[in-house]
Amino acid sequence: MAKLATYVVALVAGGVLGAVGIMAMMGAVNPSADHVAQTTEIVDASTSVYGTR
Amino acid sequence: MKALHGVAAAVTVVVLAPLARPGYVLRYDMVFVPRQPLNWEMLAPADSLPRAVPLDALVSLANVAVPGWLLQRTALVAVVYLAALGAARLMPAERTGPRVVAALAYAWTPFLAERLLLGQWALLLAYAALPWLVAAARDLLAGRPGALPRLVLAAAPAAVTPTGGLIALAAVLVLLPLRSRTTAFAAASVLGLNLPWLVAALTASAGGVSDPEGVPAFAARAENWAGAWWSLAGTGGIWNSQTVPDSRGSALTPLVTLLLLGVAGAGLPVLRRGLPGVADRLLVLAAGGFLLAAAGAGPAGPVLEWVVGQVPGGGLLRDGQKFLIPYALALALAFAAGAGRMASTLARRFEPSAGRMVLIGAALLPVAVLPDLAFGGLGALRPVNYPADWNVVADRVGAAPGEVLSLPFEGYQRYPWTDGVVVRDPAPRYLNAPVLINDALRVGPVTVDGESPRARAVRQHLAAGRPAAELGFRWVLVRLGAGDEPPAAVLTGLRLAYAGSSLQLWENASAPPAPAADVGGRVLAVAAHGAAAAIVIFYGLTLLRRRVTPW
Repeated sequence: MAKLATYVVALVAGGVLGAVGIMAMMGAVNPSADHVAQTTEIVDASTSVYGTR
Repeated sequence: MKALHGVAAAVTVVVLAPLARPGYVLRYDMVFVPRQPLNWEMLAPADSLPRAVPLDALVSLANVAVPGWLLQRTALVAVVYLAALGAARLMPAERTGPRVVAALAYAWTPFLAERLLLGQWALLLAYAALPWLVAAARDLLAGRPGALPRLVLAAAPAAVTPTGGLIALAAVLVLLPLRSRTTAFAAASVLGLNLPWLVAALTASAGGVSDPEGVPAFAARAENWAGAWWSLAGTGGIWNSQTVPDSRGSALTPLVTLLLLGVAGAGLPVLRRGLPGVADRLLVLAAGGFLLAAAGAGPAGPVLEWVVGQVPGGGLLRDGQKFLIPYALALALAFAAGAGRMASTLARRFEPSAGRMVLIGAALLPVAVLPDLAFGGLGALRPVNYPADWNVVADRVGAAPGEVLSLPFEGYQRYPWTDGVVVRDPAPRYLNAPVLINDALRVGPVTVDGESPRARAVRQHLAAGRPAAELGFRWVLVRLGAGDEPPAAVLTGLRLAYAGSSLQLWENASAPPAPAADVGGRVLAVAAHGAAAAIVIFYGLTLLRRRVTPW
């Protein structure tokens, strides 16, 4: 019983973490995000801007 | 304890891996140069507010012995390593698991990521120092010997910038009981550490008040659908969208913040029991910091604009997200305590491995929700090399020192040699001479005016297309490759002294002698720096005299 409970807890915790990780990674590589996808790219036409909100 | 050092080292390696490559990481406010000169501008800048005092003097001093590339790596490693280790050591837990959770929850945060990508490594020194300061305050309350020196020494790295110094001073005043002689000693000592920038601000020609337009420009920003305040609740919310890891925009991030807060809520009673007295005071400090951070993005915005525009020094509050540091620490500790509590409950009800599973999951949660902090923000912290022109120009200016005007008159620019990354003009730190740069900041379409009256006059002069030679600078440096290069009319009357592919140096043979230095101001600046150094040396020696140093 205890072993089964451990497996259930492990499955749930691992599943949640995995889902969070996959979703977060998708957010990271999603080019439609409203901020830099690649920080090394020039995303603003002006070269003298400290930052953009 | 070895395990905690191992965790701190592992986090540091993963976050700063790209720094193994040679060169300098140049991003926004992070500018290290091969050899930063130690001159009066580093002690107390004459024309601008002392935003990097005493930081610049310390870097210049350290640069005498350590090259810039190594100094940069040392500082960044110290930030991540000490943040992780400090939180782990402060965490009140007998087992290693919750301490590891605290280490990752504090060293792998949106706050650290965003400020690192904005290049504000000196502010992050305050972030790394806070757990050590809180631990010293806890020991001071418990009457443990050596706690007062440790408290002041922990505040020292925080006080290398005005914001960090204020956070350290506020922490001392809130964490220690007010009516106590020890508190008075501690507060006076930390106030002494803040003297260099206070004196520099009082003696500088720059006005003490700032442009109120900076409040909406630098207010906390919504990173996803949950709004600015919820972004702050997850320790994110920096104003600059270009320094935000993309995972912060994920639709799931606010839900993970909710999970973090829920676990932290469950951990609060444990934390309060583990850090009696200190935990409550830390929560008060965290709440105050959070309110300051949220003020610019809420109904208190107009009040903050009035403060910034009317009260000398009020400009320190405009980028309020900086003040989230105590909140980030309280959240990390409470989250770790909550995870420890859940782990204990599960281990009791089922078996120990179930508890371990929860702790492993809790330790990895910050990483899973912010995977793009790894490897220097997925390559954002990539070292680059200065073009050789910089050394040539530094030698020419060093041979005939005089005031330098740096053009294009923009404080921050992207260059091809920085791979298009925005960086502050390196000239003031590269050249051994007073360099005037524009202190107005462009945030999207908004220009937030600077405080220097001289920079404002130069800006107007150049905008009218008048020659730079009339401004009286000995040298005019032109940075090429970033666009916005000055028109020929501006350079009329100057002699081209050096022409490289990245820089041009123009000489103004008819420049009048540099204006007489403010000797009184310089004496005060040296005295303030000396007083701060004396405080550090005094408490350092006091601690060394003890046989055992209970860090």
